[in-house]
Formats: sequence, C-alpha cells, structure tokens
Amino acid sequence: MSARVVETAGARLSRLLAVVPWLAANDGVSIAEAARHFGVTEKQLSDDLWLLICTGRPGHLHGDLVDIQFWDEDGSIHVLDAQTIDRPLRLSADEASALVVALRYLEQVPGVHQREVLAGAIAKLESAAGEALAAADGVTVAVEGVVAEEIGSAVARAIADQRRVHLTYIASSDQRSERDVDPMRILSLDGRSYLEGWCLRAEAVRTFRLDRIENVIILDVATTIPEDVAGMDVNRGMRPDGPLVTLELQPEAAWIADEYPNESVDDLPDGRVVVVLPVSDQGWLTRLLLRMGGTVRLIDQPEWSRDVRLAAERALARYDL
Amino acid sequence: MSKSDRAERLLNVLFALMASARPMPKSALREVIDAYRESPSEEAFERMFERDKDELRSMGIPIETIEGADGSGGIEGYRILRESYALPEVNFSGDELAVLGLAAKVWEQASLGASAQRALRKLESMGDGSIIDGPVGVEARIATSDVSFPILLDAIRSRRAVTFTYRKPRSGDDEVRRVQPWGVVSRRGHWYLVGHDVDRAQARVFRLSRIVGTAVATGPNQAFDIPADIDAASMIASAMPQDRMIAQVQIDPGSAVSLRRRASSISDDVAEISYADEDVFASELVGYADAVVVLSPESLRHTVVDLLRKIMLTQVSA
Repeated sequence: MSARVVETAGARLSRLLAVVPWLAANDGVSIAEAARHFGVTEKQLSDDLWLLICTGRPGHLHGDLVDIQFWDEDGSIHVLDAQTIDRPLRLSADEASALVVALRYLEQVPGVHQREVLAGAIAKLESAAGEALAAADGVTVAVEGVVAEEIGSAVARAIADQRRVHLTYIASSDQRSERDVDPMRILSLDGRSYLEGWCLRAEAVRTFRLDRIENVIILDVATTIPEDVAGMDVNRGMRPDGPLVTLELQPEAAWIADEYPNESVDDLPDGRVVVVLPVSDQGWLTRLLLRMGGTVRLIDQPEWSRDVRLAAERALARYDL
Repeated sequence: MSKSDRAERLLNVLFALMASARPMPKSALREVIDAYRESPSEEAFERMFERDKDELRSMGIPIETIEGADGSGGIEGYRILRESYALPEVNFSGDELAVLGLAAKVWEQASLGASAQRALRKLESMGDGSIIDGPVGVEARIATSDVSFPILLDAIRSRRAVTFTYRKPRSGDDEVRRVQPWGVVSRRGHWYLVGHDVDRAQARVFRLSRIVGTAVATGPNQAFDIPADIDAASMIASAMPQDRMIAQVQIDPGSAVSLRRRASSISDDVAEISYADEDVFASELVGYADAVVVLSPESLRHTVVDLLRKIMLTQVSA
C-alpha cells in the first residue's frame, strides 16, 4: 500500500471489540478470512490479535487475559476466553439509525420481494438498539414515482428466475416502445427505481425507470446475458453514455449544472454558467432545450440547435396568431 | 505514545471497569493500569484518564459515574455494567443478515456509510448460523453530498439549534436563518430540512443544496422538543405547490404519452390536466413541441407561445 492509513486509537478499539465476538461466533476461520471480513490487512489483523491477548482484567494473571489461539499451521483462529467482551458493544445512535433508515428505504423499493425478511430484520434491530434508534426518526427517504405492485413484483420474479421479459416502456423522449430485455438488477438510487438489464434491441445494458414501464410480460425464455457484461457502477450515479454537449445557462437555469452529471462547469462573471455534459441522445436534449424556453443555449451542435428551432417553429404554427 | 499503546490502554481500562463488582475509584485505576501508574504526576494521570474516559464514552461505552454514599457529591468511582455494555441478545437469520448487508451499502456519504458498516460488523456476530442467501438483484444507494448533512443529523439528535446562510429560491438573495432542526427528508433526489424557524416563529422547509457554505450548530444541547405529531415528508409535500388549475390541452394521437397518463380525462384527444404553477407547466408542455396545443386557459397559451418564441431567438446555429 502506498498511502499509510492513519487509524485513531478509537477506531482500532472499535474494531477490536467487534473482532472478538465475531471470531467467537465463527470458530476456526483463518486470519485471511477475518482480515477480509474486517477490511484490514492480514498483518493488521494479526497485530490486533497479539494486542488482544495482552489485555484483560487487572492482575493480568493466567485466566485474567483474553485468550485466542491463532498459531496453528492452517492459520485458523480459536477464541478460548473472550473475557467480558464476548458480546458486541451495543449500537450507537449513529450506527443504529444509519442501518434502520437504509432498511426502511429498502422496504419501499418496488420489487424487493424479501419483505418479511426486511420486516424481521427491522424488528430485531429495533429491539436490539432500543433508545439508540430514536435518532432514525429524524431521517426520511421518500420513494418517488408510482410503480404498480404488479410491475415491481413481475420484474423481481423475472430477475430471480432469470427469465427474459417483454416491456412496454415510455422513454424519456416520450416515445412508447416495445422491447425484450434480460433483467439483471433493480437499482434504487435516491428514491427512484430502475430495472437494469441487457436490452436485446440495443445489444447493450440499459436502465428502465420502473414508473415508466407500462407493462411487463415474463417470457418463457431464459436470459442470455453475455458473460463479459457488467452492470453500471451505482456509485457514479445515473450518467448518460451519449455525446458531450456544451450549454450556456442563464442564471435562472444554473441549477442544471447541479442537477445533471457533467464534465465541467464554468461560472462566467455575469452570472451565466457554461456546462459540458453527456446526453443520452438528441431527443432528450431537444426536450430539455424546449422546456428551458430560451434560458439555455446549445453552443457546439449547430445541427441540433436547428432541429430545436424547427420544432419550436412547428409548435408555434399550431397557434392561430 | 503510539496508537497501539493507547488502544491497548483503553481496552485495559474497559476490562478493569467491567471486572469490578463495585465502582472503581480513580486511585485504584491508577494502580492497575500500567500507563497510569507510570505517569509522572497526579495531574498528568488525571488528564490522561479524562481523555480516555471521553474517548470510551464517545464510542458509546456506558461508563457510569457513581457518587459517594456520604452525600457530599464526591465521586466514589466508575463502572461499566455488562448488561448496559453488551448488545442485547438477538438472533439474525442468514437472510436477515444479507439484507442488513445490503442496507449497510446504501449510504454513499462517508460518515454514515462507516456507521452502517460498524453496526453491521457488530450484528454479524449475532447470526444464527443459517445460510446466507443474498437478496437477489437489488442495489440501492442514497447520495448525501450536502456538506451540512452530518451536522444537521447531529443537531437533530442532540436537539441543538443550527444557523446557516440560505439562498432564497426565487430572488437568489442570501439570508441568515436560525432553525431548530426536526428532521431531514430526501425527496426527488434532494435533501430537505424541516424545522422551526426561530426568527419567523414558524415551521419551515429548507432545501439543503441552497445552504451556502456549511450549517453550524449553536447553543446548548436539548434546547427544544421535536413535536410528536410532525410528519416531515408531508410537510415537504405541502410546501410544494398544489395542483389547483385545470388546462385543456389537445394531444396528437399516440404522442405525449406521459402527459396523457397525467390527464384526469381525455375525449377526442383533448385532455384535462391539473397543474400547480403556470410557468412550470408551460415549460413541460413546450417540451412536447408540436405534439400538443394548449386550448385553455388563455394565460397558459400566452406563456407557451412566449417560450416558443424565446427558443427560436436563442437556438441560433452559428
């Protein structure tokens, strides 16, 4: 490792207190497995074990100390005496609420079919966390878009059974389309849920907003997703993979630079903003430029600018002026 | 002193305070903990002990301070009760641990993510040993890039007021607001703060992305109560404009599909659609270009026509 990660004594102690009960519950795991589980190096984990066996009740006589055996040939770890830290430290308010808010969010995600499991986990967590949980009530994540129960559950069933689906979908360019998709995952990002799958028409991975799926038919065909295909990196957010365009935003349209993933943002002295962002296709951008009604100017795609102008002209022609 | 020594010392203090049947006086701790015994002076020991005690408490370790029975208010000693220390007995099934694992990955923000991971590490020792069958094909994320987010969470939890500079939505002016924070809500990808605006003496909703710089917690803890009957999510919904007006829009057959889905009624391709804000709705309609024509009200027609004219003046090819 190039950069040395500085760990505070508190962070290390917090891990030590979690390591002992986990090792006790998983008797015989190897140092390598334990290190992986706690996200540390094997050297760090073994240092942790050496430290632990030097601690215990005052007196530090035999029988007062934590006793862990970890020098077998096969590298397996056995906790012989955990002293008084055989159980994990109770959850802090931060810890309890971070987990519970996330679970409550998952409960609302359409198509998550482990409802009873989620409810069970939440109930047990509530009983274990007690007062620490009060803080969780301060955080709510609202799920967007109305997704019909049958759409969500059909998609989830198709994913579980690895079956192809036939979708009736309304794209963001407002076109209704029919397509066959081999479903991969349900993604739920900031309250909006998507089906990610291999689109047979595009021969590429595509995401479909669940609230824009009008109909799902589960086909009697097994999915055939090419092996080298990976889903999107959810940590990057929804980012279109189309061409880059340069837009000049009037101050009242400057929010576009915050709202959409982009390559660069330049604030001009007069309050205007120039942003370079990727777009999924021309249809999407045309709609955006129309909706922004003159507060956004497309700088570097003259053909597309012309198409937007022509679309506005056709629309105007429909009003008797 | 190295980090490793301190972690070891903290652990030994923890064991000492858990082992003792009676509250342990500071003097007894000084005798049994090597580093305390070796500290050069009483003051140095006291400082070290206070720091350690704060560190342990900040991790959530319940160190109790027991006053002497003589009523003088003096401190007899310290202790940690095992039942207050340990996570109560719970038995998670393999499936439940798997959804906890999924939940622990939801937070994108570093400090919440780390809290969730720490919680998971603890709970993973409480499994009933059943086979973990991970949730099939679900991945969820909640982004919280607003820098004020952790500060507000902390303030809500400790019931502390916050002060921040807020950029007003329409005018773009900045104003200093003092708020007793009640809750944060994520809606349509944005985080909102709900709370009592101290200067306006009213419940208000603020969008976190409009906070300029960072919110600062001010004043004492436990400074206010959060009303039991608040429903932050519905407060935010009602702070948004309500659909009160109705437009008649002609929609070409087979087009503007999402607009059709919003209509309360459609006959002969004329849809009745309710809307809240004329400017917002007009811009949505313009997005459908020549697939829609506004029939009424007149003012909406004008707004749409104005927008279309502006677009023609703006999108000038080079």
